[in-house]
Amino acid sequence: MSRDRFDILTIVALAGVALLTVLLLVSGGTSGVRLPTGPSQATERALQERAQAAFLLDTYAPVDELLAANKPGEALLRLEQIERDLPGEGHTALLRGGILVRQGALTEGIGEYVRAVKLRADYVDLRSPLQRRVEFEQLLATALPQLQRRAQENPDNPQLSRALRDLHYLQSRLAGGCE
Amino acid sequence: MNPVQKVSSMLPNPLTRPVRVLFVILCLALLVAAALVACDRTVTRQKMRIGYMNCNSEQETVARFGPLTTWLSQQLEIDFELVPVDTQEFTERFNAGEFAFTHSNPLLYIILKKEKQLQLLATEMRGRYGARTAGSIISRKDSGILTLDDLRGKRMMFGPQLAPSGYLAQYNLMLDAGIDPERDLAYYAIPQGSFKHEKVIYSVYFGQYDVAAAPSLDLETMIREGKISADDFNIIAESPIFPYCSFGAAASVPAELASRFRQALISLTPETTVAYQGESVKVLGAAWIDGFDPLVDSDYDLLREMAKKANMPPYQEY
Amino acid sequence: MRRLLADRHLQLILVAGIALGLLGVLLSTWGNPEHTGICVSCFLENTAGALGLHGNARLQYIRPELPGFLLGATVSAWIAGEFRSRGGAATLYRFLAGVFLIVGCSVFIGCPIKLFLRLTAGDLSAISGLAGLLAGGWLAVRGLTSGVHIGRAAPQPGGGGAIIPLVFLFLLLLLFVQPAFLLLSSRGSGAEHAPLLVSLGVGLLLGVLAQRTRFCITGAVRDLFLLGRRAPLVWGLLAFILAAVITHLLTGSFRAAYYGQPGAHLDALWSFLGMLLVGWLSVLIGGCPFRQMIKAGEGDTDAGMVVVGMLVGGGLVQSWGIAATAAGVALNGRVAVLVGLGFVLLLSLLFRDRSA
Repeated sequence: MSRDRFDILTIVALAGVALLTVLLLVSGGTSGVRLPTGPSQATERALQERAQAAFLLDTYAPVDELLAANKPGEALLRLEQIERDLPGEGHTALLRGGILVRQGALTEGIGEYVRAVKLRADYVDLRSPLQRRVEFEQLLATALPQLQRRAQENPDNPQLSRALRDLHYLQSRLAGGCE
Repeated sequence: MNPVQKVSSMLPNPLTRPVRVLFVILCLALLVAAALVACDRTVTRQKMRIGYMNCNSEQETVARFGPLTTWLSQQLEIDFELVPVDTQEFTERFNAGEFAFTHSNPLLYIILKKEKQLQLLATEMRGRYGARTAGSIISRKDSGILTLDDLRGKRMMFGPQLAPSGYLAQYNLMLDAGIDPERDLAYYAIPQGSFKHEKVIYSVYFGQYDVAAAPSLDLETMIREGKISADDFNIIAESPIFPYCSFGAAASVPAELASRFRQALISLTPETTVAYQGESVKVLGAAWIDGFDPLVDSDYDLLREMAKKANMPPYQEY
Repeated sequence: MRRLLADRHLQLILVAGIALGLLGVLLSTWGNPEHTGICVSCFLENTAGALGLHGNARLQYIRPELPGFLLGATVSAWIAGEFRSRGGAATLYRFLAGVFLIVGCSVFIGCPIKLFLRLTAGDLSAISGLAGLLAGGWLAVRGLTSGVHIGRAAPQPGGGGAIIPLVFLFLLLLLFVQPAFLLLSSRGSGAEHAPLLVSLGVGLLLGVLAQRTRFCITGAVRDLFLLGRRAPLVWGLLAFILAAVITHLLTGSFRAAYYGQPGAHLDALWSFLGMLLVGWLSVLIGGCPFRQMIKAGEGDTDAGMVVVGMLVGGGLVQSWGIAATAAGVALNGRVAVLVGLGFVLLLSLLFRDRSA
């Protein structure tokens, strides 16, 4: 294919642009204006996660203390107070779920656990420092057969159906998958 | 031929045979529908009464449960009448046959169950414990009263005597700790008038009393509403959870109707509305209820044990 | 058996099916999320996240399998002299088709390959998706036989067919270099992946095999309705299913249950409709999401537009709350599936040859 002057000029310009691009990438743009480089996305994420963990520890420390002192009722009220300031925070639902289950309000506790996982998926994440997989697995081991039996005996009870659906959701999240 | 007739004669006759037939069918259908609607109006529906225990006042009871009663009437095709009843008169008026259905606290349920074989229909869900609740003993944060033992010699405010989460549960907590409320307190009182549970909590908050028997639900609600803070109180003790208020049916109510009533209650969702006094009202929202759970009678056994220990009805001995 | 021994093409298809089944399961054991050893839609959502097209921090990773599929197909096509820039048939419709393919997949939670990986792992909740895929394929075949034809690709000057392979080569480069603007999940399923080189190697191998054999899940469904048992792709699909079942059993990842399966919800109706959309669209546009990647690797710019649409769709389904989760299908997802079905119906009206 014969190339005229226009083609040749265009090819030369293309080669020049390609060369300039490569040189720029390789040199890191030393001759240009240096923009301040902030932390990378990964660093920012890591900082955010650590700040989040520290924030949760600090905010919920009073609740943990009350639970350690075997004061679940007061812990629940403290959680109510925290929820006024931090609506939609998954950790409130998580701790509340644990308390309710221990106190015998099983279906309500399961509902809170599920709400917690939906708000903060870290609780089922193997890699996360916030993960509560063991707690959930223990819950499934004890509550699932119990609720299945009760649901069979009371097929019209919507609370039991809902609690079973919630448990199956937890089971699914613990099993993993793309979420 | 006048001009109108002239014009009419030029237009195609719209009343062709098929159109005429259709017109007649439509008229007949309208007549039948009208007759059915008229018939519906003239059929007399069964009338029944539901006795609602007043928590605070008659007006509050009517405002809360009016929409629910109207909705139940629509669902069950029975004209239900809402009857507000004071707690102290509840058993007497029920025994007199004033109402066939009840909405009451769990202590009244177990009394009426024992005495009159009241059928349990469904239990109300409200607050964190769902269809259950608990009672707490509280003191002010700066009071230094931290344990049940510290209650000795203190002034205590209780809720109404027939309130399981405002009296019975706390009475039991004290008995279990070896404290006799009749002897070991300086004195105890029960507030007068309405909103007793809130008054109980405020009595400690404002230092009028050292400790109080506070329903956990009321504490939760007042914190959520910002009336008090969790920082304001020590929870000295909390009872185990027990069932909350419930609907019941007299033994004379046919099982089939009782079942339909129960099904209607448990089918309610927060989105269910009813036309009430010219507005579309959310049934559960108006009643301050989250839903209904069909608990069973054995779920009330814990409360029965509490009542026996505290020598409360229906187990009191003189 | 004689036919099998004589037909080299059929043998290769069986090999491709077995490889897909085996490696699809093994990739999960090597680090990819459960039941997601290979899932083109999930991988595109992850890739879209890495490029900043959505903000779900748990789904951000350029899955090396995708460049592997595409570039494997490119290499294979080039060696065989089959790389040809072609396209130009209803390009923008194909872009939208790509978006709606991902909508359907995300509502089911998985592409047709993942559907079979889930089924062969014992996930009974995927049965409704299978029913949807078959129903969609059937509807599409009815459309094809009624004259619906989205157009035939024509040779394209200028080498435009190389653009998509170059883009994916660039994505692969980004994955190796990991510049600061690339988003990578540190937790969630985006952080679960097999070693990079393993994923890439598997992708390249499968890309080559798929290009040589024209392997396609929905193609197999289409051929099942058109040709029955005689269709080689149907045998390839069966080989894939068998290999996946055996591998699941051998790796201990088989659990037959309806409830509690990883990455699965219980909204059977919407699983059905999501896969109905995918099956229907895939057959009309000439291939499932995996096949579109392969064709794009061969220089087909129409498939390339579908791939671009799928990438954009991967961003949208996360940003707009369309993608389903284990909790179920949100309203946005339901509406998006219905809009997608409307789109397919519109295609069927607009691209129908009524002259016959």
